[in-house]
Amino acid sequence: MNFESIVHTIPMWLDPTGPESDIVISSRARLARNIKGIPYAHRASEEKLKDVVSNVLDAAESAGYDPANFFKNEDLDDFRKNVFIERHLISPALAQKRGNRGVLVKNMERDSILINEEDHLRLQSIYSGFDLMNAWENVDGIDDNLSKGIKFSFSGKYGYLTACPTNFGTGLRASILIHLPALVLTKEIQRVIRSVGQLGLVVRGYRGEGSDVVGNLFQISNQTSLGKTEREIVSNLSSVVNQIINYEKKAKDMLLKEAKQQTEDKIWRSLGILKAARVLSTHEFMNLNSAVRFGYSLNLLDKPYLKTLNELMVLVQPGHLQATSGKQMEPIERDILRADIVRQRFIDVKI
Amino acid sequence: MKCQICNKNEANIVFTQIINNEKIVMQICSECARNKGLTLEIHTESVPPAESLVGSLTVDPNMADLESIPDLKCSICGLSFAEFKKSGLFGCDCCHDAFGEHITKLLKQIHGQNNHEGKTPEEISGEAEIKKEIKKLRLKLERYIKHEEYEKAAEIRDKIKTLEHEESKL
Ligand SMILES: [Zn+2]
Ligand SMILES: [Zn+2]
Repeated sequence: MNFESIVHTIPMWLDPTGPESDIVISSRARLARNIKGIPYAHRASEEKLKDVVSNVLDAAESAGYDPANFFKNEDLDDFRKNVFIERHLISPALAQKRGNRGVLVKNMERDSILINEEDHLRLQSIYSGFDLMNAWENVDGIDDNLSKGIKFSFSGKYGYLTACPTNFGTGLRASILIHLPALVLTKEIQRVIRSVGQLGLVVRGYRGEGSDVVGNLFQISNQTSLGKTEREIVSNLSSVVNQIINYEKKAKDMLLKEAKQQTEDKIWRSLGILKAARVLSTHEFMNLNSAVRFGYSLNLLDKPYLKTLNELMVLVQPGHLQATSGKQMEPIERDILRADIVRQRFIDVKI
Repeated sequence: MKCQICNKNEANIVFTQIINNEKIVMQICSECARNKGLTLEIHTESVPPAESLVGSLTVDPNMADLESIPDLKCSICGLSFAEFKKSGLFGCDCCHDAFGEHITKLLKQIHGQNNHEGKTPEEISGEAEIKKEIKKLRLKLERYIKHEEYEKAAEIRDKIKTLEHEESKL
C-alpha cells in the first residue's frame, strides 16, 4: 500500500456505525509493549532500532499484517506525517524523530502498530462509536498473536515493562472521543470534567496531550494501568462514559425546554455558514461542524449525514488538504480550499 | 516525570485524593495544581505538606530534593537514577530492578497500587502459573504454622522447594 492509497482511504472508525455514534465518535485501545533485552527506543542505537523494526514486521506478518503497509518515518515528508497524525496513526512525538521508526496499518486503519516511538511497540485498535470492549478484545488478540514471535519485556510483579512508569502493568490506555455540545452550552462541562478527574480518568482535547478543546470534542482515558485487570480498566471507563452520555442527553433536553429557538438558531446559522463560506479556518470549521452535528443528534436535520461530518473532520485538516493538492500551501490557500470542499459536500443540504 | 494533567511541565507535586475510600495519586506540576483550584503557594521546591479541602498536596522528597537522589545506576544500560528523574523514562527493561524500592514507591504513587493484575504473555504463562501456585502455598504454610500443624507445614515447604527449583530452570 502506498501513501496515496492511505490518503484516499476513509478510516473505518469514521464510519458512524458503532453504538451511540452521534455522541461518541470513536473508541480506542492501545497497548504499550517492548522487546525483552533491547534498550528502549530513546537509548537504542540505529542498529538496534532496525532490529526492532524487522523483528516486529516478521511477527506481524505471521499475525496477518502485510509488511508492505509499513510506513517508515524517514520516507515521509512533513505534510505526509501530518496526514498520519490527523488520522490518529502516529503521534506528534514520533513525527519529530528520524530513523528506524514508523507505523504498520491494517483493516482500513482500524488496527495499527507504532514501532519505536516511546516504546518498541504501541498496538492500537480504533472502533467506531462507543465500543471499548470490542476495541480492547481486538487489540488483546493482536497482542497474543505477536507474543508468539516476540519475547515481550515482562515482570511477574510489575507486568509489562515500559519506558515510562506511567504505563507499567497492563500497558493499556483505553480512550474515547466524545462530542458534548449540550454540556458545553449549559456550562455543565467543567463539573463533569472535575468529577471525571476525581474518578482516576483524564480528559483532554481533540488532539490529545495538552491540546485545546475544539469543536466540543473531548478525549477521556484511564489514568493508571497497574494493579487492575484490562477488563476492569475498560469497564470502569465505559461506565463513566455511560454516565456522561446520560448527562449530555439531560442537558440536551434542558436546552430544548429552556432555549429551543436559540439552540436551533445556532445550528441553522452554522449550517448556513458552512454552505456559503469562501474562507474557512480549521478552528472555525470544527466549531461549526460541531453545531451541525448537534442538529443531527436533535433530529433537526437529516442531511448532511453523520458520515460526512465525521469524514470532513479529518479530510479538511491541514495535512490532508496539502496531501490532496500535492503541494505545500499557505494558510489562506488552505482556508479557501477547505471552504470549497465543505460547500461541495453540503451541496444537497437544504436550509 | 511529566505532569499527568498537562503532560508538558515537569511534575513536582504529588496530589493525593480520597474518593469513595479509594486513594488516587497523581504527579502534577504547580501550574496545574493552581488550575485545579488548589491554592498552595509554591515558593521553593521544599514546601511543607499542606492540606486543602479537595485533597492534600505533598512535595515528593524523591522528586524535589536533588541532594537525596540516590547514586544508583542500571548495570545493563548505564542509565543513572538522576537521569531517570530528569527524563521520566527508563533506559531498558532492567532499570526498575536497579532502582529497587524507589520504583516500588514511585509506582504506588502513580498507580495507587504496585502489583500487576492483568494479562500475561502466552509464552511465559507457565512461569506465571508456578509463581501463583507458590504464592498460594506460602499462604497455606503460614496458616499451618500459626495453627502449629508442623507436619503439614513441612509437607507444604517441600512442595514450595520443588516448585521453586522448577521455576529457576525456566
Ligand atoms: Zn501540568
Ligand atoms: Zn537499564
